[in-house]
Amino acid sequence: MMQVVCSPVGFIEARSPRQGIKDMLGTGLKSTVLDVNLFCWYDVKRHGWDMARFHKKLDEANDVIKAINDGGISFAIADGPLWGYPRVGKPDERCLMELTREAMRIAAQNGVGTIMVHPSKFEDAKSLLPLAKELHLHLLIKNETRDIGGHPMRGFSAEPSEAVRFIDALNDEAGEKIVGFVLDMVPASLCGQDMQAMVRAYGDCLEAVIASDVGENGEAYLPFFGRRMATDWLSLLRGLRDVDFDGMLIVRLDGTMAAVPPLIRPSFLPVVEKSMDYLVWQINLEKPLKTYPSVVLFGAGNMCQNYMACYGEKYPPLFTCDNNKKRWGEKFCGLEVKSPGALRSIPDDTVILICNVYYREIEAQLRDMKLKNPIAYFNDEYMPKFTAKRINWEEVE
Amino acid sequence: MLSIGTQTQYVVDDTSPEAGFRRLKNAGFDCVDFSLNTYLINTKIYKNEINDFFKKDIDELKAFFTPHKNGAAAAGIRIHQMHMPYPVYVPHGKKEINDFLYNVVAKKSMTICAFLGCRYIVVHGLKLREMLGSEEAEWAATEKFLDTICPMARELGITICIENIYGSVGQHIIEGPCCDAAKAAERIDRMNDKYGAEVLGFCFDTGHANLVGLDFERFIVTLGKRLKVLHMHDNDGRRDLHQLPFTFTRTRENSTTTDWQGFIKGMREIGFSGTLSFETAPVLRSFPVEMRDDALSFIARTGVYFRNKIEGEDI
Repeated sequence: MMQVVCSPVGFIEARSPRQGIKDMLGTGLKSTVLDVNLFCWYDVKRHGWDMARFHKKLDEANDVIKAINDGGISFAIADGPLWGYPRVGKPDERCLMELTREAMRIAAQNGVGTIMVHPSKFEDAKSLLPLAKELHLHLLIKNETRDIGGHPMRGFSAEPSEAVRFIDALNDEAGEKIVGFVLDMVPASLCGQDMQAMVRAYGDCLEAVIASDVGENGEAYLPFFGRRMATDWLSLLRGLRDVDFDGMLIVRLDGTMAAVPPLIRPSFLPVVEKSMDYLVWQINLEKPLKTYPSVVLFGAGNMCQNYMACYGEKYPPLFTCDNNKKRWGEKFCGLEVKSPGALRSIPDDTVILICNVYYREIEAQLRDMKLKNPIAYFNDEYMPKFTAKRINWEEVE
Repeated sequence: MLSIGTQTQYVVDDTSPEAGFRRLKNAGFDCVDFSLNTYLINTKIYKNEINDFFKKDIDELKAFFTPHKNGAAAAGIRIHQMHMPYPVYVPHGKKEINDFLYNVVAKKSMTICAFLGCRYIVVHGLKLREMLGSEEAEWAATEKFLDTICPMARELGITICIENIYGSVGQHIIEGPCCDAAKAAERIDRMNDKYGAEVLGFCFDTGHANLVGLDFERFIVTLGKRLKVLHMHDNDGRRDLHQLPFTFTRTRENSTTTDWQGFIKGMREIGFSGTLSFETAPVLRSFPVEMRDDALSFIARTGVYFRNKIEGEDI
């Protein structure tokens, strides 16, 4: 069962967390990330890598963590310190790993079993294993970037074959499976990576995905609400469907929340929940086809055509139907086009798949018909392939 | 010693090709990347505007390019590599156009390549990932295309070079065909085994690699000896601008945004011994006419810098 987790970055402030917590509680989003980056970075520009300051900040974090827990929000996962989040000069690797160990202890103290860590080389990742074992913590490494003059390039574990090799080597070293992978869409998008190929290569190692629309400078926007066409959702969704992903979906919103005025945030957060429901629905698009013994389509246009091109062979519909009387009796993509009335004669466990963008109107029509059949929506925006040429209705008519 | 080359586009014209080759020689180049793709340009192909150039029969094409061949020889320039017109297949394009590109333009390009004494021809893999559903399916289509020209490559002694290219989602650049070095290496080896000759190699395009954040050093080292030719140019990491190396910065420190150090290290490690070929023709459009020869000389001088570093100077 996929778990949706909302990162607090952007709307729960470390200095005054209660307002963000309250806003989040107004939605169905009830789990978050114990993200030490909320506490670490404020002073780096002024004070440099001052470990004493960091430790003091992390001590203060306990109050915020308690406030979040007391508010009824659980921590599903923790996130270790990540250099460049925001960009604060060259990282000090030694300090970064020391802080990571501190973050691991905080995670364990708060009963969080999994933490994302951000080493920049294999040896650093390996150095975390003894503590992870001692604390019974599961580590997730992710695709990182490295900086070339302000330009993000693929960094540690960004190439999937390398990441899998690292994870296998780390688990071998640990003598148990304590390291997995989290795919972060921000670096993957910044580096234009084929996320379908990445997901396929990670296979069982992939335990979580940080989902966001991605801005040119790496800002994380609410999925489907950023510069939508700039994020390669198609390749991600294809990949997640290919591997039947059912891990953790972590949504990050810092770019969006920076744009939403604080007074509007309480009204906006339910949209976050809807957006994540939509993402989960897209990932699971094929599930109704696997669940029910037979299928009937509603709609005889492009969406029906794409259904037939992608699923027609594996899940052949009994027929399709359409409200346009002129089309009744026509053969379309090998299917007979029938009147909606024909749905009264199908078996009760046949799923009716609405293949038309007027989803809600058609669903209401079907409900009015008092049919007992399950009704599901189909969508052809992110198909496994696009071999069918779109129909030009003007030419047809 | 590594050779230094650049494109013929905007320098060598059809009316007096020898003069253009001499300009390149005087600027400091030893060889060229012959811009065959300019005779059927991609933007027109995508608009279904196919000119008649490749409809000439092969003897007419050889006659057309004879002055270029002789001009290069007279100027002391070697035609080291060329670019096949691209794309060779337009997704959902007209069948007659795709047939022409795939079966006529590609094969005639191979013949012209051999006629000009050119050892390497660069091709773009088919961009079909969105349509066919995966990179593997896309490569299968590219391999099917390569199978139509590899027998010619073996017969003519040409190596076809696949290139790392990019695609887009809206305005956003994403990796296109041949951006996975390990897969490319395996595929090149398999094709060469199949044909019993070095019919396939790789063209590493630095600008395209920069757009999709590839790790230059790792990519080059993974390819090793399969790396045959280069397209060297620079950009801002966001658009395929084909500008001079070291041109772009993003921070107040003004350090380059392209991993040229990684490039040099990788080239050193594999012992690259071919041509440092610049794909920087657009530079000649951005400089005023009066400065173009200076720009060419500077590009060649940049090549000398890379040659010195790759051949052993301290980095």
